[in-house]
Amino acid sequence: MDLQNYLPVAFRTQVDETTLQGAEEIRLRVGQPLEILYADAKSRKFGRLNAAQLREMLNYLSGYSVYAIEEELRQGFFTIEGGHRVGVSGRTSYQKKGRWNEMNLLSDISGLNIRLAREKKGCARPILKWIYHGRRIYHTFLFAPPGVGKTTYLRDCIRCLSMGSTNREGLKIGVVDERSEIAACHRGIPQNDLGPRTDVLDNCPKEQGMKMLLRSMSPEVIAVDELGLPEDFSAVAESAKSGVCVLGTIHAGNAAEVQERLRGNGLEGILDAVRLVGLQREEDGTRRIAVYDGVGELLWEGC
Amino acid sequence: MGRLLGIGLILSGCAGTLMGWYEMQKKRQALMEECIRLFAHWHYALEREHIRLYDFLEEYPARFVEVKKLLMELKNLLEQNCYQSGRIAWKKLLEENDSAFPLTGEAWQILEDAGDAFFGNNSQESLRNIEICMRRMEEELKSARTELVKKWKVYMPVGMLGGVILIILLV
Repeated sequence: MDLQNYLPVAFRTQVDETTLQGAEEIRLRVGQPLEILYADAKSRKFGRLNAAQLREMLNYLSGYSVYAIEEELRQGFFTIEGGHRVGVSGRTSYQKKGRWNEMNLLSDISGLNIRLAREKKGCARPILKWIYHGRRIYHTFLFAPPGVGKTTYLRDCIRCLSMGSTNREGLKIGVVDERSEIAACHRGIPQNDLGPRTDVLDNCPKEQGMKMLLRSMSPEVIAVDELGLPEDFSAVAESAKSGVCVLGTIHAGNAAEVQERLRGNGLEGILDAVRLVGLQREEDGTRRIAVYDGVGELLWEGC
Repeated sequence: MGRLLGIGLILSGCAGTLMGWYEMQKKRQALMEECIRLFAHWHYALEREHIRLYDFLEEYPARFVEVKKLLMELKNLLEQNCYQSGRIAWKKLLEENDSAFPLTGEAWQILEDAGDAFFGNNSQESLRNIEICMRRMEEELKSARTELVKKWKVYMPVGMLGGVILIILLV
């Protein structure tokens, strides 16, 4: 379905297909104009959104089945057809569950942020030769601040590794897609091209998912997005011990931070088999890539 | 001979009307049962499977063609993404299809209110509304059955008596 058909009826005449070309995000907040953000950091604003229109849009996005996405809403986002991710904000209510408070419901939704999925096929090609290690790959961690494109590069790495090339056979890849960002599964079906040898565990916690894949799918590479918690790193360690390479992303500003994170989580033993790939957004919107080895030595830098 | 034929025609006409009315009442009851079944299916789908409304509307095994047609029309209508809320689409659809359903009064009102059961703000609200609709429809069905038995008990002897009197008068 065309994206503008998800917009409230009152906005459809103002926002057409050409308006959405090159857009990265559509932001909707009650009482504020509908805002479209573009890749070149420009933005356009339209009208003013009211609560009923936001509710209307939520109906369209969920196929009039808001109840069916309650589970996802508790995590603050859901994925729609085409792999676009819809982030939500609103009023939360909690209930006591044992010793912890668990989020019960996200109601009175007052803001939506649609992050438009754009596959950039081939963007990870310059990285590939640095992460291959014979037939296998190094444990590779892509790092960058939020919004630079780690997931986009990770997705393309997965696709390329899974497909292989004329002189390299494709690898069996297991993807743990906790936030449905990599494969962008809509009702279990990946919306993004992840290659022919990729198995996806959608909406599954990283730690559990990695263990499940290890046991059941015999992957050669396990790919995960946004490693951060100690349990994520312990699952990485377990995979590494099992001889499975890990391809992941980490929020970090520089290679030293990533090294520190890996060391702090008991992964110093694998540093000699690690590649760190840093991404930076240039002023013209292009990405600068820097590849480091496990001890932080720069191996290559380019666009 | 002509008189006898006339009496026969009048009597069979009356009997036909009476049977037609009876059949209509039975169909009304069957439709009410179908509504209860629809609510029960929807309750289960919502509570256990968190199935999307589109899928439910498409997959629901309706026993009546009218119901299936209504659900498919609702799905098509919703897929156009033109209705601010599903309740509006549901109401519009019922207004367009009221002649296809022999439901009247309270039963029709329950069907209209089922919009809240399909399009609640969250699953808890929808579940509660389904339960209310189901209970109301069950009560309505029960009273419709009792009423039909009562009416049948009156109409049958009155009809037969009327027939006998007609025969006596005309012969």
